[in-house]
Amino acid sequence: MLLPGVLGAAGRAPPPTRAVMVGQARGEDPAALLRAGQRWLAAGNFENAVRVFRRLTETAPDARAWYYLGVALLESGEFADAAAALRRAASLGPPGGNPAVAHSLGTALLRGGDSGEAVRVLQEAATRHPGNAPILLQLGYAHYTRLEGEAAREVLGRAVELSPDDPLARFYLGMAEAALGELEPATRSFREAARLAPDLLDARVALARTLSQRGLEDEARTGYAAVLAAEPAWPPALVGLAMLDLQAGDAEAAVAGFEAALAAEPAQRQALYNLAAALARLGRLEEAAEVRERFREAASNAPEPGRSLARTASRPRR
Amino acid sequence: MRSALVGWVAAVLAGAGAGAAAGASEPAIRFTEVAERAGIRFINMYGGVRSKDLILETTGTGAALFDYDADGDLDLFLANGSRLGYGDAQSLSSALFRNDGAGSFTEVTGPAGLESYGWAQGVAVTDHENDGDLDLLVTRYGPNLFFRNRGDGTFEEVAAEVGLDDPQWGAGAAFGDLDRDGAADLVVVHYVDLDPETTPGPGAAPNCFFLGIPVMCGPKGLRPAPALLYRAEADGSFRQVSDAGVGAERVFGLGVVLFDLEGDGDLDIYAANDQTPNHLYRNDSDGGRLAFREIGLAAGVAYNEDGRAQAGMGVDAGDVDGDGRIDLVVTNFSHDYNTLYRAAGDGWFLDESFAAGIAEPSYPYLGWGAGLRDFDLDGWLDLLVVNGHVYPEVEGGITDSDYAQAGLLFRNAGAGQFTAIDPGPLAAPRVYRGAAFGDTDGDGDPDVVATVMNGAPAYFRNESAVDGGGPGAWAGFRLVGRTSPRDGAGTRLVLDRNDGTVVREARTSGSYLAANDPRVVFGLGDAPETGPVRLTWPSGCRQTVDPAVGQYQLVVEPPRCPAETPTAPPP
Repeated sequence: MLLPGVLGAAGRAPPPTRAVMVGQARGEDPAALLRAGQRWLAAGNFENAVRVFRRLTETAPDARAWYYLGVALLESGEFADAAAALRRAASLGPPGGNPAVAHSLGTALLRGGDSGEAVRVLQEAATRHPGNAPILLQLGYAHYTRLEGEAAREVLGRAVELSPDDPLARFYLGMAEAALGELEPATRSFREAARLAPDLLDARVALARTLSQRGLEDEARTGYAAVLAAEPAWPPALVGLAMLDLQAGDAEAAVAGFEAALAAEPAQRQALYNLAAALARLGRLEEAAEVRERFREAASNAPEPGRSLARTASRPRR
Repeated sequence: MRSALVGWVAAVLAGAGAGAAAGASEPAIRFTEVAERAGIRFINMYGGVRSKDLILETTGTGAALFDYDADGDLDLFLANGSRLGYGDAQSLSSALFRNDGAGSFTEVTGPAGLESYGWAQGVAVTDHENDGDLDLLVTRYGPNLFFRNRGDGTFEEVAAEVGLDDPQWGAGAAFGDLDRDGAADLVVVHYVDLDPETTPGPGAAPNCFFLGIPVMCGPKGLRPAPALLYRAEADGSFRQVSDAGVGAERVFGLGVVLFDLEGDGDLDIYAANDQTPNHLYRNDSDGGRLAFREIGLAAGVAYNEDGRAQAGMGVDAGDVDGDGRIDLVVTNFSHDYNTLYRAAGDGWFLDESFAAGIAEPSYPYLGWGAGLRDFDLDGWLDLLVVNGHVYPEVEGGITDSDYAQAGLLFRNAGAGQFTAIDPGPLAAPRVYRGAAFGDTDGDGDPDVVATVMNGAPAYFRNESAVDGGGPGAWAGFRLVGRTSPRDGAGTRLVLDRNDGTVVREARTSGSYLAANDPRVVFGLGDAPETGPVRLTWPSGCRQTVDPAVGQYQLVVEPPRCPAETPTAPPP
């Protein structure tokens, strides 16, 4: 499952231009460079992809070359450079703007921490390309990361209307609804996302958690169990199930669940926090104290996750 | 005003089905806002109106409902603030209003000697000398003020004389007999160790933005401050106790409540902290020596169920599910939920906010004052929360949040299952902060006075006694301690009923920056026939009384109750 913002999510890459001919005149075949870079990109070797696309931008400095360089930099985690390359691509592109470029630029800005500028860029692109669902999805996600739940819900709702079979649009709509405290609509969105993409485990975990928050414990339990049947060591599902056990007073089962989650993710904060509580509940006070120290260490080493937006799930798996 | 109204309307709609299914005969909770009509004419001044440059301008002020003239009804004290760069001459004074007994008030600030200026914050009330006259502590940004009640309707400010003039930025404060020597001790939580000279301005540092909007900086990035514990000495002074285990860790403290964690007869301390873990100080005092242990993490009340520190503002304590254990509620920032920590026994709590029904409706709101009170007198503690954002800059549709926000009212349908209901006049958006709870008109049901930043306070008179199906019967208790503190704070009252046991504690602390009615009311619903009430005083003395329905019964601690009387844990 691809995250929004990766290659080709919002439309086609810019077409080749006359600059290709310039590269050919320098003795390097831009088409060959492009193909090579795309292969590295597809193979996940972003360092090599960046190197090749840089050569492409020197050989044939057109919108497409800068776009691909931007995408490769984005995938390398070099967000500022990616944004710069994508802005260059945008400046060389058609007057109306290329949605793929705008989408990737918005993604680079978002991942680089400039969510305000990301919203501006994506909003502009959404105005120019109102029927482009990936741009709306990314714009909605940008609103969501800025705690702008209502805007996120509105934009993601439009994305769902345009692309009703897109599980990510459903998933993020559910996240926005959950962030607004609207658990029933969120349940519907997560349920639909999970139906559309059964391998999107975060949607299924989010669904189970939302059901749990609504007091539908049996359904939640069934949901977590189904996720664990698909991936037995998936920490969010282990933690969710253990939380239900803890709330039901079955501290033994909760301890087992939290420990299984921690075996897969040793610094899982929620698991550490509640494992300590469950151990204390069982009278295993020394172990509880030890786990609390681990929790303190984990808490001091990791920044607080965002407020409620982090509650339901992490990003979907790639 | 988008999200706030949408939030409660949605919540009301969500709750409508449950209410209808439960039947139309259930008593409703109905408030009317009568501040102006009741004579409470007061304007709060607290920092900038349209923007805030310093975190000092955001926390607002509290209120106290207390019987300063000992005439049997609750009077009202409203703290006031200032503006950056203002001196006393430009600021507005805190104010005292005398109650005529029926909920009409007359301002008596000047005659009472309570004219005072500066950045007042929280209010706490005690009968410091056990002389029958209630004294008043006002925490501030700057030295606290302690107003000793002369007993003739006037006060004198004696903070320096009694050792309470600590200059740190005090927020919530609570009096209680922590060492069970008969005198009320004091805990004060502090917010930020603030130096305005070195604090960056809006947008000047990464911690000075909200959703990309430049706003005042903090509290993250600023220096937290420790809680302070004061022991009441025999000579009438207070002594800071630094080695008792309170305040070892600096946090951004705002709210505080005293309650009996384990039913062992001594008062424990729970503090709601902003963006830092909440603290629970278990009282291990022995033989007159104050000793506490911070067990918030171990008890499950430092973080929410995700292991995440929230942004605690207000706090209250009460048995919401009728199991005889005291549960805790904390109000938090917007885009987060208010937290209900349900006591699970053995001093251990579970975050059951969602299961209890208080989490979902609270997301759009930034909560402050909160009270667990039996507003409809049906025997179950309901919950009222007042809200308001910290950033005026969010107004204007820039973000999801609104600066002025509605309040939230949750009815406890039984066993701690809450439903958000129409809050009536609380739906009008205001920039609320403190909220004091108490029966101002003597009809048994609790009323609310809420402070409003840079505005007039709201006085929500509980009219449930008049219509809306009418509340149930009630039995009230006004306590007078002898060996215990005279105001009876810290006394535990247990009423056995056919359908279970009801536990209440007499306390003035809780909510946000507020002092509340110390009297205890048992809502009896439609079954006024009841057995005796068992009291356990802070001294350990135990007493049994038969409740008097429809009135406040004066209960005086027996004069010769042995101090060694063992206190049994609650059922």
